[in-house]
Amino acid sequence: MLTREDILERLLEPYVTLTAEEIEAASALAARDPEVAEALGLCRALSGLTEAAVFGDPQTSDAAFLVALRERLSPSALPVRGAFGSRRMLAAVTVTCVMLVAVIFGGGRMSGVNTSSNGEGIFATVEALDSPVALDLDSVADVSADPDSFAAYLGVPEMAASWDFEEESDEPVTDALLGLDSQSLEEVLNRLENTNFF
Amino acid sequence: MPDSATDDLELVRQFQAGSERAFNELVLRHRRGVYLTAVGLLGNRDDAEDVTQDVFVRAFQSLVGFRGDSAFYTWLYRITVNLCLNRLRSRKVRSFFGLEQVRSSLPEAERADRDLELSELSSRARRAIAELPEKQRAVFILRHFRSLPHAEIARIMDRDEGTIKANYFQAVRKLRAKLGPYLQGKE
Repeated sequence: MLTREDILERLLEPYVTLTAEEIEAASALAARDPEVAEALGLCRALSGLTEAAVFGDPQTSDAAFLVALRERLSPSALPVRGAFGSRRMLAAVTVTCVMLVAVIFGGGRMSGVNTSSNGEGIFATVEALDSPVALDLDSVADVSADPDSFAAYLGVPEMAASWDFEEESDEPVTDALLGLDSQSLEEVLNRLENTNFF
Repeated sequence: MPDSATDDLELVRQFQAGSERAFNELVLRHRRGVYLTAVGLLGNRDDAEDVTQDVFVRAFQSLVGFRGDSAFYTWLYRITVNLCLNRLRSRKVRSFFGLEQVRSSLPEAERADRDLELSELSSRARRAIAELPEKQRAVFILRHFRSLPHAEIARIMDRDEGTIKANYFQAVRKLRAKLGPYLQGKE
């Protein structure tokens, strides 16, 4: 059995939430209780206030709203999802991988270490641009790799007997020059100073 | 709305499994409620549209971690209320809105029609709601217009149920005090 206080409190709630029993009890009491009658009247009147009437419906259609929302949900706003993460993370990983590959190949080129067949192809092409000079020098060096021919090339054949090249090298000209003792080197330089090349 | 909570949860699960169509369905189900709650709290239709977008962007970003401990709409309205209160605080829109602000945000052509449609009661109610303190306003809107139980509103507002009920009753008493003479005069 609802008391008067119960009914007054219930009439503060939205009218639609009242049960049939509560409405019947409130109506019966309102007939002889002005305060309850007023509360019941206000409760009913407020129930007529719908949010659409008070505030109005959205200005945009559902379709327009969804389109605008999709624009807001650009790749940069997407969340981490699933095993592969967000599109943003996926893009970041892709860029990182590309940069990593570039650094590996680029680093390999600078350090002279080739790490893949593709890299070798690229570097072979680049090295080919330098090859004419190297080939010319090496062809000379190949000819003069032994002490006799090198001494002959330098114009000091009599000194060949005193030179001792220990082993073949990839850089025979350099090694030959470094292999000269200081006296021989000075002699070679003196000869070169007196040589007219053109 | 609570009746559709189970369906909401199923759509959430589908979204979490990768279905964006499920998210669109959730948006269409709750967009209007979120908007009307926002416009009730903010008092500005443009702001309410912005916040409604923000709410669903947040939802999209966070829904992966939604475990279903509460109903989806409870979670969604919690985002809505928090974003609205943050916006009110950041903009210091303490004076809230009156009828003029709502009307001024309507397109010209729509405004004339709206003037005819809006009843005097609605206009007065809008003003009266606007003058409620923020928390009471939020509770009133969620209870009266959204028909959410006090317990759900308590979860949304992160307050105990008794406080929510007290806030709601205070709001209703204030509205009755302001609308009472008009309501009684019309009856």
